[in-house]
Amino acid sequence: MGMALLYQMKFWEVRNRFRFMETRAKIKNIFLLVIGFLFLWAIYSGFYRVLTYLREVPLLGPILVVKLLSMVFLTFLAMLIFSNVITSFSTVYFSFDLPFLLSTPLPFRSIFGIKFLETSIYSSWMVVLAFSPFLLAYGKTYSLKFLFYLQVIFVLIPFLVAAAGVGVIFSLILMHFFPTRKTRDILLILAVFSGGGLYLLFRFLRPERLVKPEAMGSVLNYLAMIRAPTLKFLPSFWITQAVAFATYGDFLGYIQFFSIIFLVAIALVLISLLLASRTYYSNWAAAQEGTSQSLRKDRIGKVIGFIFKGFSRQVRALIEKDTKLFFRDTSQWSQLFLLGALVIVYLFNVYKLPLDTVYLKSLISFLNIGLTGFVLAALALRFVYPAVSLEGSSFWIIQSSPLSLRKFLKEKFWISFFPLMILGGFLVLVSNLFLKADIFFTLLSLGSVEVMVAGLTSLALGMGAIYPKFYVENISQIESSLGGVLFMIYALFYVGIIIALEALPVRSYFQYTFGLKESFYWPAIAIIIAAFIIVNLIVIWLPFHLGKKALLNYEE
Amino acid sequence: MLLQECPTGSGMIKTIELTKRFGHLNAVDKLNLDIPPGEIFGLLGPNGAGKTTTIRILTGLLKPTSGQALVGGYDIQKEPEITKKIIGLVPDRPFLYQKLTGGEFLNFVAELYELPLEVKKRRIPEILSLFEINEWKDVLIEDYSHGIQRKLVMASVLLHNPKVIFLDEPLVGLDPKAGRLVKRIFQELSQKKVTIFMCTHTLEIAEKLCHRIGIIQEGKLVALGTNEELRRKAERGGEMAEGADLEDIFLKLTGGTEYEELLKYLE
Repeated sequence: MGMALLYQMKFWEVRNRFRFMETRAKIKNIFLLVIGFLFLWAIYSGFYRVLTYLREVPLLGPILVVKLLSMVFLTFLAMLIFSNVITSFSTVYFSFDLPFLLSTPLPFRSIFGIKFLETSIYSSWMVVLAFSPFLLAYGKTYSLKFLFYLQVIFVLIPFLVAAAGVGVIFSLILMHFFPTRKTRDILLILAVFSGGGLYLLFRFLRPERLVKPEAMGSVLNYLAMIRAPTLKFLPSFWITQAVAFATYGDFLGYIQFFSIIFLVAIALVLISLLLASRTYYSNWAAAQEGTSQSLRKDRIGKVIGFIFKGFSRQVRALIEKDTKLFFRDTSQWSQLFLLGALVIVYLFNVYKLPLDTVYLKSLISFLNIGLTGFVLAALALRFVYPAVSLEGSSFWIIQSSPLSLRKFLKEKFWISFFPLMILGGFLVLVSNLFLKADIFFTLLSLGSVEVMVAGLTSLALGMGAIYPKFYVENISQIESSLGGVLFMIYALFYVGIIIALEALPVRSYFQYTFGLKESFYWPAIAIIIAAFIIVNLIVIWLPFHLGKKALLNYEE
Repeated sequence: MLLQECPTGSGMIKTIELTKRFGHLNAVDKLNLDIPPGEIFGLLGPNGAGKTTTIRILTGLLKPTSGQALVGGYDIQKEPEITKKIIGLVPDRPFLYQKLTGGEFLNFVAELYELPLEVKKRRIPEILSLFEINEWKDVLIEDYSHGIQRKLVMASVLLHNPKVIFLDEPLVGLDPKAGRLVKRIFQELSQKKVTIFMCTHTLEIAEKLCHRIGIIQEGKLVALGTNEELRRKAERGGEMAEGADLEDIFLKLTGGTEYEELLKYLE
């Protein structure tokens, strides 16, 4: 009864969100859906081409496809568990509605049950959406019928429940042993660290070798790699097998692996219920208690006072506040681990590129500008876009103070711009060093990337101000919001334009260097330079201006 | 009456036909107020009457649909930064930066208002002691109780010596001792010509503290005046018992007496 009521309440919440949505919001969401669909379609087409290519590789084709399938499911599982661990802490222990729910006569078991379901849905929907193009492309490659998709959906449900079970049990156990809020901080570090680790591991496995057998030392090595035993005790292996059996219409084989996943999911749910019935309430109660630690030393304030001496007092105070909040909030600074992993993987990939000709090296060092732009766009989404929203419910302090919103946004701009500028410069210089690029390309890359940092910072900040989300339970809700997705689309478009604009001068430079051309066609280059300046001025100025305007008109 | 002690004349807070619409709802409807310096003004009204919206417009947190809001002679919409320098706000739900300590928060506020350094150094310890939260100054705000957070907000508002203070439910969450302290502070500030504009449901406080009271219903000002003036107005509208207090007047003017019928249900 209690559970049914809670599910009904959740259903009402979702229904009301659509029912009471304003027309403008509806149009926005439809637009987002269309854009999202186009993105998924592009990914689907890419996967379809890869799978068709792999399937047609003589002799090895089917093995390669299954190997890729198992890799995809392993990544799927890793992402699910990672996402479930992080989500389960905020959902099971720190949801806004918990004080209310726990004050009602509902049994703890029911409350825990609904939180389990929420954890599973919150952490799975985006991952499932991201993986659906692959599964659809897979089905299309083998011209599979409706029954196959039905079987996949049936096996996916216990798979998702099992992943949620692992995440929730993990948080239950750890909250039991380390119940205060600080624990959540420690756990978040652990979770993000292991997420970063998994990402690195997966990247170093270099799945692209699958499609490039000739790059391996010998056929034997290649065969050894693809035949290497997969981790058979992981649900990702079971689901791979179930999907493979479903592909070939082997129903008995499918049922065998489906049953394993199903039983494991049930077992995990039962274990978590058992653990919850013993520990949930006491853990939750303990998590409400603070540590009341004293923070007397103010090193950050002194360092900031020294570095930003030239800025006004108001801006310096804001910088100091933001820096303190960033380094005291584990959910924010621990993302630096992911950033570290991203940078290492990026540079490792550049280092490992098999480039033997000067032409290839130069070409890659040019394209590297775009790649660095994409990395910076991803970082801007993670660190700059949420800057305004992170003011949260305390935004009234800024709004009612004599600080102008222009100054407020300027502070956010500079505090994001400097670290990204250093990082962008580092990425481009080190990768150009690995690529042994010439001085022209190095300078061109450096200049372009630093200009893009300014553009991306303003774009992220402006979009974050246009679509602020002040009331969220965790930071990921800000990034994955409508504004976040739109920022990513605009950012990728902007980086694409920059690369397109630079293509002609770079081509002329190539032709000149390789002796194919005697001189440059200056009028064209002048027009391109003018266009480059105009595009960047617009991208730097417009979002900042629109963001400021949006904040001025912001109403709760 | 306290009101007579206050100088009248140019309004410290002035609203002219102030209107705020949310969709089809008129949250504030052609509100006209003129509050002199040093007055403690109470805006009362049932839930959803438009009290908080009025405060939010007067402090620049919301834009009016039409009309004007002047504070200290400045139009909050046209000169927000100058206006905000002279005001202080205690909202109904004052969320603070949870990962700062109380001391750091006060320091941050002092910098936002560009308080001279020597004043800042003197005022922060003074104000922490006044509210008896000195021992909390190095503890993260996330570890504070609701009441201590309210004290901290109150302290931060007084830090820059504002000329006008806006308070939405000022005494909620404060213990009786802190409540009394705050009331005394208001009275002293009023004598120093600081204007105080408060919204409250605690009618007893409004009755004892406010020089004038405005009653707002469905966004419209339905009554304005001293306690005595309101009583007379209520009496004109029908029978008013001898010795009726502000609660009776309030219920009479806002049509709340119908609840008495409902209350019989509980008996």
